[in-house]
Amino acid sequence: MKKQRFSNRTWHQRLNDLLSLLVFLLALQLILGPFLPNVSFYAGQAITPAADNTTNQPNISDTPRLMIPKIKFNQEILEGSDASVLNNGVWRRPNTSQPDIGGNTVIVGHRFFQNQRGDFYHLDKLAVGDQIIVDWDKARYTYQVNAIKVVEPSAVAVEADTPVPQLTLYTCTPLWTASQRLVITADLIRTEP
Amino acid sequence: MKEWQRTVALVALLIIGAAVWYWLQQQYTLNFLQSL
Repeated sequence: MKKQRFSNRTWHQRLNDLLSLLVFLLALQLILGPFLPNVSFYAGQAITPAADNTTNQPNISDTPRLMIPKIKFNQEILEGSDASVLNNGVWRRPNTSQPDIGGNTVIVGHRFFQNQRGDFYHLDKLAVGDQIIVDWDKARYTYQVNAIKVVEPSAVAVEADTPVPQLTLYTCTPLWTASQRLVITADLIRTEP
Repeated sequence: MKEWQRTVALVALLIIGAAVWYWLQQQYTLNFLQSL
């Protein structure tokens, strides 16, 4: 079939051209969408390789707050008895401890939600030794990552209480699925004031 | 292939793609919430 110039195409052919473009863009979004935030993350790191100090608030927050300098994460920790809280941010599991009490404080968040980057999208970028800061009840608790593991969703032991203060963060892995959990545990290394 | 057949095929592809997109999100959210 001889190719036609675009200006010579009928309205029906143009409609089909438009639909073809939409199908192509939808396929691209389905395949690449979940990974696009990684591109901006690593591109940002290449430009500013040093840790971003703006993540850390100099003053202790009045509201519960979770800060992870490595991934420039700084958000309020939401409380609530229902998992729908997760739609608005990261959620401290109500059946677990709090930083001021000791034991195991567990905070969860979406990795990927409503076709967009979830709160814990970049949690997989953390490494052993990275710091995590929690502002809780007018005090600041600094934790250091001691282990990163992937477990099955049935591994409820990650929420079990611990004899020493510990922070546990978890989210879904791998991307686009909820088949496993990425679990980060961290030891308390400093409390201020 | 006639133009109208092409239109039907493309619209069908769009609907299937959107359904897959929606299904993936539902799977993710439901699986995560159910296991909490």
